[in-house]
Amino acid sequence: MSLGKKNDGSMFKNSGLMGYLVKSLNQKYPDKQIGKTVIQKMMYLLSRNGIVNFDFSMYHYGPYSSEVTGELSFAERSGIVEIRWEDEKGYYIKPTDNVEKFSSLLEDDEKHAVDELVERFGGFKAVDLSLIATAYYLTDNFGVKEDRLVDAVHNAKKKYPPKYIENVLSAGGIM
Amino acid sequence: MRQYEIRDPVYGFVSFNDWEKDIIGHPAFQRLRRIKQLALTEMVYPGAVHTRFEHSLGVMHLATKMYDSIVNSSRSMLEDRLNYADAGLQKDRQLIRLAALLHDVGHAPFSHTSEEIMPINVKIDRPFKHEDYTTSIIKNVLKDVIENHPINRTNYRIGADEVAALIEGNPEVLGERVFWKVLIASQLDADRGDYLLRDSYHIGVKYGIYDHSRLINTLALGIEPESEEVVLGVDRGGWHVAEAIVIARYQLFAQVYFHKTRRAFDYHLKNAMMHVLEGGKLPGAELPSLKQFIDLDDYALWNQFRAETNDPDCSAIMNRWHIREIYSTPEVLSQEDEAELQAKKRSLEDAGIVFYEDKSEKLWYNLSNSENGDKEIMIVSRKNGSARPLSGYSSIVKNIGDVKQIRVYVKPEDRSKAEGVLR
Repeated sequence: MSLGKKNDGSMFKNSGLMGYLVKSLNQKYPDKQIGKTVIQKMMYLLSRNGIVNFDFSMYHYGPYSSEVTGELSFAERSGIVEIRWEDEKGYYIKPTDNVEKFSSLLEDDEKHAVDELVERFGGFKAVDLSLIATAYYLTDNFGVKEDRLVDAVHNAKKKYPPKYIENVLSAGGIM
Repeated sequence: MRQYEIRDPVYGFVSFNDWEKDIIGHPAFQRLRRIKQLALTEMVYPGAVHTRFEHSLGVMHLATKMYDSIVNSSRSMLEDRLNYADAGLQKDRQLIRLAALLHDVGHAPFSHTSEEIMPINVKIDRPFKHEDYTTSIIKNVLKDVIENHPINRTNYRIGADEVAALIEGNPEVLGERVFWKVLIASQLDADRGDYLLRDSYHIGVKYGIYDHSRLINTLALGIEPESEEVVLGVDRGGWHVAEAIVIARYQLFAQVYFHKTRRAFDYHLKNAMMHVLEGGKLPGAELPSLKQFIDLDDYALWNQFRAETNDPDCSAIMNRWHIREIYSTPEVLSQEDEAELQAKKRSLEDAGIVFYEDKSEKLWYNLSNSENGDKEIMIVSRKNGSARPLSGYSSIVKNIGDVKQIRVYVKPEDRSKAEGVLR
């Protein structure tokens, strides 16, 4: 009997999911930098599918969630991932041997959604994922239609030429 | 342009112009005088009776100081990376002052506690957030006082939609100027900068005190290497003050915001509000329900709580007779801790004792606002703009993480029995 909402889910589930994502990305793209920006944007894309329920806000660097940052930090403290910083390059996030133990908390459909996400977007570098996530955020929250999506993303991130943005969004299957 | 000054307990004086005076005088802003900054924290710390009104003035003051310092320290980056010239910098200084002043104008009664009873926004199928109320009030209620003052018409031509866009982070309206959201909601924003100092002052604790003058003087822009974006940080000489902010936030959270009795009253408060509000929810953030929302403040709800003597949660608040903590996990729990928690809960269930489980993370994120991004503070080089995380300098920061604690509460009359069961 509970006085409030029952909390039966494990506190480690989201961290387990992040560990599974980090492991999948590192396995499929061993030479790619998997940093905090990549994880933020991938989690944003995953949240659009309803697989995770994180709260995102828009910044000049794209959608961002402090909840994702917190869960990633928790995953590090729980020994699920290792995070190191390299000057001039940024963060590198790697899975540990504990990932398997924690990813057992995930349902099959959650793993499948992560697998699909990695397959579709895992090859994009951080700055391109940021453009893709920004495009989706503008569509979902500010009603931007496809015919002006490139202009809207360019308006938010002027340093990327419209043609570059168009190529990235096309490659991501967004338009 | 006439300037006014009023006393402020944290900064000495806060100044504003005629235009800002009219905005401050608007009933929608005056309402913040009747919303306490820390809800029922006063049940534990009697001095915690300060309001969103004085906090909002403080955030405007601090944001201005921070902006001026950044423009002074990083002007070339603003010009080269964000295409600023003098006129743009002057206009956005004023825009930031207004956004800082109004960033909490949509707070519900009892501040963050009531965010859990905000209704669903059918447009995106998620509950409204207090920022939705803030932007709606700015665009619908304060539009005239923002846009039609002679100071604005002559000098700035700032639209209410621009003020709202800075708060919600809308590049559709602001383009790259949305960058300045970092002063309203980020790891180094004026909101956090103010509440740490102000809450400490009123509560009577020293945990939140940090050297804000040093922070202002060391703010600088750099480039974050992975995203290649401009980032707000502090220069290398200021990393100790950045460390002090992280420690201050942790201490205030652990000892004040997440105090076990304060959280007990958050539980009663949420239930009491659900009891007295129509449909158990706050009115929506859009017109016409927005007008009903604005009519709600702490005073209105206190009156309703006082009238509902038969409701257990209203009565708990009026009589300070609250649920009791009987078990808690460590601040950062392990899988073993989680297993032990589940076993304790099963024991309570087997004994027929009802309990309430409180998780810290929700409050932690509410205070950091997701909105109030919790990225790591970056230490930047003034020479070349390179950035490195604060944890690369501070071993204390490296070891302070988010608090992920769970507490279990029972009704006061069940406390002895529950303690016996868990012993």
